[in-house]
Amino acid sequence: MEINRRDFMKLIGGSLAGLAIGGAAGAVMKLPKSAEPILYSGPRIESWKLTACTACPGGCSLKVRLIDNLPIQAFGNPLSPINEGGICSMGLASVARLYHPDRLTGPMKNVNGKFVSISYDEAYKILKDELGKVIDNKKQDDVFIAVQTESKLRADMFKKFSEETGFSNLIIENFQASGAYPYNQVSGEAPDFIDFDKCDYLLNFGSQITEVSENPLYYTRKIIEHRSKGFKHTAVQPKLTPSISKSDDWVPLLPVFYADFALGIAYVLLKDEQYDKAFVEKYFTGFNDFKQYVLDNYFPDKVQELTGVPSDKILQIGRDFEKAAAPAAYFDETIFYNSNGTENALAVIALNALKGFGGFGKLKEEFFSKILENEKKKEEEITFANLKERLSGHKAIKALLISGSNFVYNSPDQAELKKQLSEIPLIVSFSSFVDETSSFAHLIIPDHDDFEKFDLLIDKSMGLPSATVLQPVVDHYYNTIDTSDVLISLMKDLKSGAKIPYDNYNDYIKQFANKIYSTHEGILMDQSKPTVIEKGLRKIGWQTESYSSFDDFWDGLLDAGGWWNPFADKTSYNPKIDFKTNFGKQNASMKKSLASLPNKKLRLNIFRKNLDYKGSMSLYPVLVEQFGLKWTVFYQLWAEINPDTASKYSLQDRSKVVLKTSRGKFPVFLVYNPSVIPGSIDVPFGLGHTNFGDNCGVNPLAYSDDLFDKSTGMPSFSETLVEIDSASSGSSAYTAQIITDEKKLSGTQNRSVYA
Amino acid sequence: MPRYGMVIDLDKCNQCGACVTACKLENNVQIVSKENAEMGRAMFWMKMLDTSYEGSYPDVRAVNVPALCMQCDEPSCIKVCPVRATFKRDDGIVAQIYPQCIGCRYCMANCPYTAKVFNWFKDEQPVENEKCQNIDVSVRPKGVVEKCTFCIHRLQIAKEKAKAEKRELPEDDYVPACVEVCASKAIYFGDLDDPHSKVSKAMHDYRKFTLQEELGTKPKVYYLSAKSE
Amino acid sequence: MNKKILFFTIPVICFAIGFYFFSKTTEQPEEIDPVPFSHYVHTKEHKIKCVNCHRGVETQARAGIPNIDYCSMCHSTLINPASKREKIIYELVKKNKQIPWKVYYNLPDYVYFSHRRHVKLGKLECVACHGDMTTHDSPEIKNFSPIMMQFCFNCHEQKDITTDCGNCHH
Repeated sequence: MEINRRDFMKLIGGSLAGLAIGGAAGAVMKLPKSAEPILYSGPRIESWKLTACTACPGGCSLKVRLIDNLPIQAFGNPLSPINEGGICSMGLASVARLYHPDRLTGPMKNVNGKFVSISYDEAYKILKDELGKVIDNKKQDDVFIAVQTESKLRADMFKKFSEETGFSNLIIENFQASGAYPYNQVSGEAPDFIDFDKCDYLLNFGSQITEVSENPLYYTRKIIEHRSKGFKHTAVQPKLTPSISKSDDWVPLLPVFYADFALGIAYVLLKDEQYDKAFVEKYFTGFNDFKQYVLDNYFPDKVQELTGVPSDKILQIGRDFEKAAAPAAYFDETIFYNSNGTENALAVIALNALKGFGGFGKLKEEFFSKILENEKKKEEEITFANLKERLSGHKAIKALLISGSNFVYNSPDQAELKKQLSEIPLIVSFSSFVDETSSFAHLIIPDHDDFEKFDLLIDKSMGLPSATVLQPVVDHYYNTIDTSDVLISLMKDLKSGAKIPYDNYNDYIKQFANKIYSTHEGILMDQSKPTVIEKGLRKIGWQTESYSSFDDFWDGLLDAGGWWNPFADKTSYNPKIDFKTNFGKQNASMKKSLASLPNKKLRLNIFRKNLDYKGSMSLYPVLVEQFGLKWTVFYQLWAEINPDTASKYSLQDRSKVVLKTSRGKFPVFLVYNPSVIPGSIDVPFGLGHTNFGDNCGVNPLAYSDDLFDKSTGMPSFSETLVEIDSASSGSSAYTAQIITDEKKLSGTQNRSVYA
Repeated sequence: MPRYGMVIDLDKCNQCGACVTACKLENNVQIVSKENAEMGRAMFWMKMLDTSYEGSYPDVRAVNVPALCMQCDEPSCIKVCPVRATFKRDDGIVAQIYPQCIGCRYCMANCPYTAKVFNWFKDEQPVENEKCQNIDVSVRPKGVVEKCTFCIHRLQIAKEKAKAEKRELPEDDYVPACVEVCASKAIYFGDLDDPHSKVSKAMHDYRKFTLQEELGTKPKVYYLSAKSE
Repeated sequence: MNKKILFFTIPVICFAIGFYFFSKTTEQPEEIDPVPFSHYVHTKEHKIKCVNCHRGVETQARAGIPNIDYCSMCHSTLINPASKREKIIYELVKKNKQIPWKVYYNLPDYVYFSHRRHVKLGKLECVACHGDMTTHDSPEIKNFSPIMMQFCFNCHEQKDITTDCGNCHH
């Protein structure tokens, strides 16, 4: 048989076609693996459970969707008065934390640099023996306990532990408590809430009130609701954040100048004699000195020179403030993220005092504060400042217990801290992950995930007492134990004869709920909002529902997801203020350098986005991807700069630039943003973890200067000066810098999703 | 037949981005790798267009617009699909059928709102997100185009439930994920043809506008903003 | 003549080779159901209806297969001591282990099929798609109806039900 070229070609073509078609036909018969649903063979029964979110201090109520008893998604609980069905990105993503591969499966012990699994009894024995030794030697003063929690009842448990065992160095970092701290310093009591029924002017100093605050979704709703009734909101912040979209005016101002600005407003009130004279006479000690001081030093032109805010703006805001019937000058914990944070807070309190704290309110019954035990005097509060003093001082620490706090990541002096921490003989962490702080622990006893534990989140910021239930949606997967249960066992073992009327934390919560029940007030969250008529009827004593026993109430509480008292009485906040005026002397040189910007330097302004709370975002890949979506920048650190400033330094939009501080260089992706204060460069906080979640980007705080607020020890976010390292900018050097930095920063335990 | 549309009140929107995350988690949209993201292949069905900053410093305001598939009444994408993988249903939702799509991306090129995204690769998803995938929505394979569908899976389940319980489908039973999670209740959704629905009442607002009206696509997502565009 | 045969057979052989190799790489192992469940015994002899075990049929999208807690309602004791098959299930009930059922009606991920819609609203009988299971004495590997769109379409077109793609593919 003869085959010529054409036939041969036909043959080859035909065979190849046959091979291809056969292959394609064979291959499409199967689904790709990623398309297989996870619950493939189950009956897929859907159920819902109510719990609460702990991602930020807001404490919104969640309803979790479970398929075959596995949590899949979380949505807002539409019946909760706090969030009314709304939820933010952090809450939506938090379900994935349950299944995170880096979650510790049980107690771990550090053996020669590696973490080894041990049993709970072994871990508990080590902890009990070591702490017992310290107590026997009467060296309780050498032990520090660092706690960060948004739950007041959990903080209360730690306080009880500290009292019973004598470990008096207890640091509790709680967002709401931090906001109340300066009020306690000058008057011994803090306001409970902003009274939106009375308040008609809100002057917000630095709080990202609709993003991450005491109750962001509630504040968002109230601001929208009251805007049409003449409510005005002016925000004083260093950056145009989404909160400003809910404000009527924005004063761009760096936090270091807040005190000067507040006193400039106070000048307007004092000069026009439009302050609340009756209140000041009765409650403000040291007023005359204060008045003289402000009138001498803070006239608008001088404030303009100090801060850069135009004097007619100061006059306008001052006049708005004095004309308002019940204004409120508001701040929260974020005011302490600056080295003169306490001074700023005190100046704002003084400004409020001039108008009699009209916009604030207090719960009349002191319901929760009476019930919460161990409310000791706040002046003796131990903060991170004390811990830092101790760590750098000569008196050594014998033991450090850490719960819920990742303070190594949230501090600028990371290298020093790491050295100091490695000298402590016993560090015990209760964290569920090996993060930057717990990687120094000798012993880790992981806590339950927030979806696996019980708690009651108390809230007063709505002007009404409310308690949202945090309850397990699944039984705990791993060999973890609730930290409060460990504390209760320790208390019983370390102090003989201690009177502890509860066996575990669940009992403690139940006892607290019993106190709520015995007041016979309030309603559960699944009942509809009461009308005015019902309110009146209740005052007479008529009840719509009653529970035959506490167990009935408890079951109802767990079904409803929470309790609140919409009929609680409010009263105004009238504290006795005692001021010692020494404003303005702090930080004079820092203010000068920030105002005048020496020698080609820019101000580094680190800002917080609403997708991250104290560094937790890195655990959720969904949020890490969405972090830079606004600027279409993904998985890297970006910096925002005003176009005028950029042209002065001949920097291009969307270019790669290396910034240099006294601690080193780090690469950023520069974008133009006309809302940035000229002379500043804004860098977001939340990336750059070394062994916690996804590592990409850089932690800008690690390159900042060592500046802290004196009384609380919180790091300063906006007082470092940087300069553009033009030698390293440009793409090849920039890429090289990223690689070096990422190599330096990558730890042993991090997991990169994107291999 | 109902005609589903949406009204987004930009004055109420507090720019939190919860709608973006909710859409991503509800519809199993994949999280792309770093390399792919840098090439512009990040997949977001609902995104926030930070279109502009108004005014000059210091009287600057950011204009943030949540943008999703406009579910146009005259969609430009369906006119060019060679296999009818995308088409307009009777109830106004523009459907996207993944098994039918051949991945030519003509529709992506034609859409003036850049609402469609393409599955260039199937990147390895983080393990914890795989465990909480939404079972009601399929996971798209490589090579197909996808876009917002007004959470049509929720519509199917709600209609079925209403029929099984022998009642009409009330307004609140079917809401897409973005509408459900909005904290400031800035998004209204419902039947545009029903004069009593919330969304129809919101349409009577003087502040109403749509994006790129001049193109004649008749989008069914309206925006309300007191500021001039 | 020879050329023609050659030109025909070689492409066919190549087709077969391609098909075989590519389907090998994507093949799922075929397993026989490890528990020799008999529909005949349960339905004809003990008169259990389909919906008693496949409980999701009128309320959910998925019909569901009973888990060990449900089977233990009857099988916590040996009903027929002579039966070897029953011993297998009895052992599993005692150890409280889940029965490793094999799912044969493998619906792909990109299709949404709701039993509730078809059985409760459409008033369809189980036998229409699953055949008469009451005669099966052991698990069958083959499905009665092919999991193919044409099968669904035939019925939908006949009964004049909507065939809009978006209703099932999302």
